[in-house]
Amino acid sequence: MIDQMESYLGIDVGSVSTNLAILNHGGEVICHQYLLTHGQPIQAIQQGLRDIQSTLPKDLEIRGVGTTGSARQLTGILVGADVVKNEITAQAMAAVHFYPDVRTVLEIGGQDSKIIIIRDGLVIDFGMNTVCAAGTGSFLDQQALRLGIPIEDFGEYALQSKSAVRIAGRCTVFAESDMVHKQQTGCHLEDIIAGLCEALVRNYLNNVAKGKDIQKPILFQGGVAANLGIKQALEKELGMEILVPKFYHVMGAIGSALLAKEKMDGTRKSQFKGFRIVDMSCGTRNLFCEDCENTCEVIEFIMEDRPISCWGDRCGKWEAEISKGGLSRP
Amino acid sequence: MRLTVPHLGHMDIFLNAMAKRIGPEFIFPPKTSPRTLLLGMKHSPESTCLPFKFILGNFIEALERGADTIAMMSEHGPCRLGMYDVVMQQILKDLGFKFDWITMDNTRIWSDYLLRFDRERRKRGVSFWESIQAIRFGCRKVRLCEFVERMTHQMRPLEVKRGEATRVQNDCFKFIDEASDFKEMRWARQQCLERFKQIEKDDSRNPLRVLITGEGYMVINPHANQDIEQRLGEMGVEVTRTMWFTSQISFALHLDFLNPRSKRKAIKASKPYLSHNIGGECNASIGYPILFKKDGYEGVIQLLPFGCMLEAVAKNILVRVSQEHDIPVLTFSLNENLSETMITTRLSAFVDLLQKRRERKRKE
Repeated sequence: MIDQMESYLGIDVGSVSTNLAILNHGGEVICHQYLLTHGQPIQAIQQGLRDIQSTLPKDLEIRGVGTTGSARQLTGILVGADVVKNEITAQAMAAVHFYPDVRTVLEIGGQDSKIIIIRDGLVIDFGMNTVCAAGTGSFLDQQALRLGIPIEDFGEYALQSKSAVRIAGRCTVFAESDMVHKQQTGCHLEDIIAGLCEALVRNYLNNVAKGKDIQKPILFQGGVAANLGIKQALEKELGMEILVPKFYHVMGAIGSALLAKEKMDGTRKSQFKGFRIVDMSCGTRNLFCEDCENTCEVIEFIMEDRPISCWGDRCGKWEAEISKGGLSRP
Repeated sequence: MRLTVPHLGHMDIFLNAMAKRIGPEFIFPPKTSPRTLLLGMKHSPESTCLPFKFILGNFIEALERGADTIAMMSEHGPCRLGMYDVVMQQILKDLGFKFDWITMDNTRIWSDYLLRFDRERRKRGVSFWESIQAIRFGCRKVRLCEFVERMTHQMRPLEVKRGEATRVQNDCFKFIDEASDFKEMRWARQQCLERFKQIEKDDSRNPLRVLITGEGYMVINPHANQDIEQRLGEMGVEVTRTMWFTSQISFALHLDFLNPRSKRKAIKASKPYLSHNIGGECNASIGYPILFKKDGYEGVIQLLPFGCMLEAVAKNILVRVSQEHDIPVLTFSLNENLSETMITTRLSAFVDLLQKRRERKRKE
């Protein structure tokens, strides 16, 4: 059946990881890919597409592409996306897709954390960390590295703790000095890790989730959901059961694929540039426009030596310049 | 006397219009830029609020340009604005600037400000009638500027070419500022209407309507709130805000009794949630969403400078207002380190939320 081969691609490029997911027409996940961004989103996307292409059946047709994450704009231009959406909408979309009755989504990613309140399948409120990154994946990564244990085992250690030590989790730097202090006084590693998990959860609930109406069923998504210690600490603090969906780490990508599916409706033609982009030379160039006091940082995307798109300017002037040769105007 | 004031909405256009006719000489700080903020941050206490840093930066840049007298407003109550004048004077003196300082607060408005104005008027030999005309002229200019802004708010979500409404708006401000008498003002008004009519627009769109409320300085100054009005407008949202230069003046002079959306009425609407008026814009921030909900506004964005105590009170009460009046509220706590990505992500998520809500309501 040709219909079976209709599929939708979602790409979520975040600060830490780049995720791809391909969904079939029925909304089932055909395949997904999780790789680290390493600060090079273009390379990560090309690598991800290369990897995922090798696993796909030959006659599969991409009918729509959606991008999300902090590099959604760049990604959208690189691959030719049909929908470029923020990660809150994408995460909520995926959550409702798998659990139609979900009422709360907790999402902790590499550098940001969010809470999404959903009622009857509709986002009614959301929160996101503002001035502080304590309690996100990057910090856990760093601490795991410092303690010399793989991040995958971090949660296991926390679960073995008998009595968690109290750690000040308000600021990542102070949390770290507090941990060092606790180590020096001879506390067990397991107890320190469990204490850290609890501190991060307290911080999350007091900052991001402050004043939000948290109700069951609760989904826990994002890379940090793999950490059983954090999940347990959340359950303890909230006094409610928390579900971790099967595809917790690629929910953003799934959500944006679903958004693409919704937008394309099976009839319109996708702008997807195809898998050929994995071998193209791509890059960006930036400049500080000094034509007014805004001094916007304008970014230009170059593909095969040709400027494709410009963004970052508040006035829209450079966007219009792109057809006239981009930033290298006289 | 070369007087200077901080940038606050269109206050510079008002004072410039007045000064051109009857004086005194004004030296305005250059438009608020990243340099202004850097100067302000460098010399301010680290934990002070964002308006303090902007205003201090304005003063430093104005003094560099040769201003010798600073006029600054003040307030009584829990807001930190009450200590701005004392702290700023000290900082500027420590930096080695020489200047006179005029504090304008609501308790001394007659004795201090108006008497000074009158003394200055006599010294210059300006008649009473002329000075009244000059003030009227200034008011007319500001009202026209705000009229242009309201037109821009409505035009942005409809424009076909991104950024065109903003460009037209900035041109209009120039016409208005350059007009030197009432006749030229009428011409400027015609020009503004004409220019707006020429913008290519798509009337089939039905934009969402969002109210921007919160702390006054953050609401009124695009440079302080990262051009939130423009960003929302270009996402297809019609915005309005609670704070205007004229609304503040008419509030202070009790001339707003005919306006159904006045600050006084907003404070009254906040009574069920906060019976004591705690000052600043706190009570109004709570009351405005209730008033504007009745006008068909679908969402509220509250802006506050990070660490603002009054707006933090309003923020927590707005959670309840949001539930009881069924209107989503998004709060932005802004400081000098907030990244652009964070703002756009949240704004676009909020716009999605409002759009979906509207679709759902339509189905019901």
